[in-house]
Amino acid sequence: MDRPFALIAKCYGGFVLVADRAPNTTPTRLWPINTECAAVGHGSVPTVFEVGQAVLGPAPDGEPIDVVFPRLSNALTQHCNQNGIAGSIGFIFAGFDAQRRQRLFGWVRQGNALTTQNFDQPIVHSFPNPIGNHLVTKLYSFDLDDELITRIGLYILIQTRTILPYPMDEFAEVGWLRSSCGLEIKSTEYVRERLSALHRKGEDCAFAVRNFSPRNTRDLSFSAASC
Amino acid sequence: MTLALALRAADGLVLATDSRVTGGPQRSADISQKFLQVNRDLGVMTYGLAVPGYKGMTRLVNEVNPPNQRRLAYFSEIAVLAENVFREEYNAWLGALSPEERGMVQPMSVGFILGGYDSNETSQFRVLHWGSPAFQMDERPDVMAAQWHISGFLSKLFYYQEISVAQLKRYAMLCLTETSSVEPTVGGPIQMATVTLAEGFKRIYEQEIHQLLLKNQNCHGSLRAHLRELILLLAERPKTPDFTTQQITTCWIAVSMSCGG
Repeated sequence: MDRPFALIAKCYGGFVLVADRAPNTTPTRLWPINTECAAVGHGSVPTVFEVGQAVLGPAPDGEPIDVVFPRLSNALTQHCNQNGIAGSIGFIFAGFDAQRRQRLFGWVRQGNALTTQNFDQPIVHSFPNPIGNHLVTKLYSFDLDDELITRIGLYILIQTRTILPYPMDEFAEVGWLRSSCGLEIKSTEYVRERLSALHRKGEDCAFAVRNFSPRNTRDLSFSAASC
Repeated sequence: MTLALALRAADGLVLATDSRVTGGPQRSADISQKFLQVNRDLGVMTYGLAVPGYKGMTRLVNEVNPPNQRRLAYFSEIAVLAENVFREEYNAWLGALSPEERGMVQPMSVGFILGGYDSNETSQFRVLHWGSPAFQMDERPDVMAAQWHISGFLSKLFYYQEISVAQLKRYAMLCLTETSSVEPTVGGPIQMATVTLAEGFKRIYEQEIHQLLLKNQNCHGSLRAHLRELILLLAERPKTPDFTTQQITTCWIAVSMSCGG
């Protein structure tokens, strides 16, 4: 079984990490590393969890991501080689470097092929996600706070799960990473509240766009008069 | 890649594609012809590999309309011919490749859509789809092919069963422009046609495409505004009443009391 959906977004002051998971199960996707770094796993389950548990142990607090990532990347590779792990798994790392810049890195293993990546973009998806990219262009800006970025991430999760043919779960886990504080994993209630609000408001949004609420009728409609 | 749309309205069909071709020495060019008219009521579209796609379409049009012979008129016979032509052209293209190149060809690397009005047999608007390598005919209400993902999302917001062809042209335009804004393999001039009972297959030309683009400008803004509103206006976590809330509550109590409530 796969857990394909993972997303990390930079936001003002930190990062938001979002991953799908089945409801009423324990969080297994987000990995606190130290006060400056965290990671989210994606790929074959339970392999990705077991590898994360074996390798992504706590690092010394304050150690920047440009030190942590190369070390953990080597450790992940070594662990997979030693244990003959050939499944498709990956981790996206987020954190602050020695100059306090926000950085994103990726480690992916498919069979025996290994790639690491230093991402430039502010949002990283675990797989090519055209719907995510589209929504990011519509909604994302760096100056949004972690609460708003969480809503965007969860909305991307809902729409991706609805439209793309990936075996995603309907619930999610969310974490906020802030410098000097480490990863704060949000509660189940927090996630449930936002997911249900997004489902509800998403329906309203579809209705408003399609039927053109009175406020927008003149400007925004596909009304018959304008066709 | 491409975005190819064959969409069903209450009163007809809308067929639309972009014109971008990727690969080759120029890497990307907006010169690809991705659909053709087959007869009065039918159009054919392709997506994916440009060479077998274009060859398949042109050969179908030529064989449906042979010079000095009876033209094929029945939808079913055109569909059978189409399946054979598409398969043969794909196999001919595949046969010309080296074994290494052949091994790299993915399933669904080329596809065809035949859409139109079946005036002789069923009197229905019909949309058929074939994809490589099997080219099994698949009849569907509508088809969104290749880079279809963003259109899938937009259809949840904009599409409804009773939509008219006039509205659907704008929706197709919206799908193509929204997709091309984030997907580099989709772009260039938009090719569009409608199929209606009254007018049959009708190509939409550059000027009307431009007008549709201008009319849609507010829709792009509306989409962004509504999505932002969705994110911003979600219920916040309960907060302690702020000054404004307290003030309103006080006012309400005062009004209630003055009304004897």
